[in-house]
Amino acid sequence: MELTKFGALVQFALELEQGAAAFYNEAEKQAGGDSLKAVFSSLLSDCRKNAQRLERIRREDVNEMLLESVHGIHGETYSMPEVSAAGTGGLVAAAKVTEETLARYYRDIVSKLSLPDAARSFSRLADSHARNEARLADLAPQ
Amino acid sequence: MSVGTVKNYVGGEWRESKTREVMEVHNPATDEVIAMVPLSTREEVDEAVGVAHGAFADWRRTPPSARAQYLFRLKGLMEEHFEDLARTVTREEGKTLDEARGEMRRTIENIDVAAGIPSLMMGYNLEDIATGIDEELVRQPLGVFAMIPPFNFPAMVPWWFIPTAIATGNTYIVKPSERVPCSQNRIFEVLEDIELPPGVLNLVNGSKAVVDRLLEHPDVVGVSSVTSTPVAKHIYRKATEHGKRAQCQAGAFNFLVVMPDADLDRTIPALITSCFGCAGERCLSGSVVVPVGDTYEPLKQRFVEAAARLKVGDPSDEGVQMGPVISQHAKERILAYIERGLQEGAELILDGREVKVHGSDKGYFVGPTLFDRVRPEMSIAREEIFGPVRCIMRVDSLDQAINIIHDIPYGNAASIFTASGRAAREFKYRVMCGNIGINIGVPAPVAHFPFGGRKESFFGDLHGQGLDGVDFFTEKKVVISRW
Repeated sequence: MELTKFGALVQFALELEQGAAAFYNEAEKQAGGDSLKAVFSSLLSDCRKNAQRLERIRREDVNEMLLESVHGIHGETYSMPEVSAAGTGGLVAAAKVTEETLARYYRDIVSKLSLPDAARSFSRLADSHARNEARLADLAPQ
Repeated sequence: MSVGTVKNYVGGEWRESKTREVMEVHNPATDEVIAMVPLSTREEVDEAVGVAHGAFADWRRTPPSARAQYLFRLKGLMEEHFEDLARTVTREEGKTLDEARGEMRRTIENIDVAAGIPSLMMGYNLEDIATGIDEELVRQPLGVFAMIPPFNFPAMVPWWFIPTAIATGNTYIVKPSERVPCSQNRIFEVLEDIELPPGVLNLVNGSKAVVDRLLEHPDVVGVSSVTSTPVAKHIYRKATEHGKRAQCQAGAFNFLVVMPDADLDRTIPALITSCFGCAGERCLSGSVVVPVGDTYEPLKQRFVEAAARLKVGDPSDEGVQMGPVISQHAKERILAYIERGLQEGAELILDGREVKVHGSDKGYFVGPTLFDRVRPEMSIAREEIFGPVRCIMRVDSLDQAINIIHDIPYGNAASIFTASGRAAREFKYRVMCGNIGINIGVPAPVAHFPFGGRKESFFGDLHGQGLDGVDFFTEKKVVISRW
């Protein structure tokens, strides 16, 4: 499904963040060891904050002069991993995919948007998820 | 299922109108009746004016900084209810959710600006205009003002005026468009929690009889309106006959000039937004695209392709790019214009008459429609259609484009798309419109600036928004002192 409107882009981002939050909620329960639980708890918290940020972006960064459609963003190219990934290695790998997907989605829409304030906000979200991905890479089994 | 009848808000309380005359309010995407609106009586207008007049004395003595605090509280509440309010706009007006959010953003922006009223309404002074004599200018509120908005921005347009009016110490009466009363009704429900003194801000539903009573009532000192040109003329004439201040925004017919050096990758999306945003029911919509010289062929091809791709449908769906027009009557009027365009010899290159919207068979939909080979004398090139029917009119030079713009009676907005500073400067210098876009298709002034308009697009002296608003809602008084 092509996402052509600002509101549709934000709505899809909200769904991605909510999907990620559901995954981290489950991962936190399944994780062995307090340190890994803390990592997933922190990522869960980030997703919830990001959802609030997205609602603020939708409310404040819209500009009636610049509601131009975008093209080339297709929701199906940003699929998230299943929640049921087993074992520590599987959970961390799935989390990495989750963060990579979110970072990629935000980067992709930054390049398409004609709303500069929103683009800046999405750019910050992309950076945040990229940092999380790097953090998870450090945790991955060598 | 029964639907509720919206109420009036007078003296800080909700009041059911005593009238027997009511109208249906429809969701234009579905034809569903979503509310009933009372056509309030002359006596109810008089009651509201009396209450507002009574509230004025105390309100004008409330310090401007204290008046601003109400607006800060209102801003917070509007942000909190933002999505709900936007969805109400979409439901009754038919614009897409993104467009409704844009409307709400601009609504709040006007509150933001008016919250700065302690600075905005300052006067000035000069010591020793003669030896030992000082002179000062102060701005004072005038009394009860009223607002007559259009249907196309049911939340925003009244709030171009209300925040500045009440921040400067006036009291106010709004008569929402009877076609879309729900958004203003919902805003008033939200603002109840800021606990304005009763009578400062009032809402009276109704139609022409309410407008006429407001225009002739001796205790109403001024009127703001945004309507079609014939209605604006009526309001302006009647208001001024009765000694009131008046600022009346009127109809529009806007040209989008595309120079041969324009970057079409950036221009086409801007043209699409301008021409088909809000289903063309916007006073800043581009009515005619005017390609200059060689840009005609590539522009026409890409513009038609982009317009044909627009997804028309129920505007509450996030993916929809264009919603319905306001009513079945409006749809029929727009379709009649398409017939006239054909009869006058224009070439229909994109036909939106038979657009099908899955799941919204009863909605008032007209698809994007484009005419080519349009000549300046055709009615579709001169009259405000207020729907998604647009024209392409090729010209050979910028001079020719400007002459065409000047040949119509309206002067609301015009845009140029170009990479040339010289062409842009020439355009903004010469074109006799109140709002000029340079590489912008919807030149909508932010709340800090007045919303321009000339010729048959505006009647009055001071425009809505910005410092013009402060001037409109205050009287200047000069005091000369010797001690």
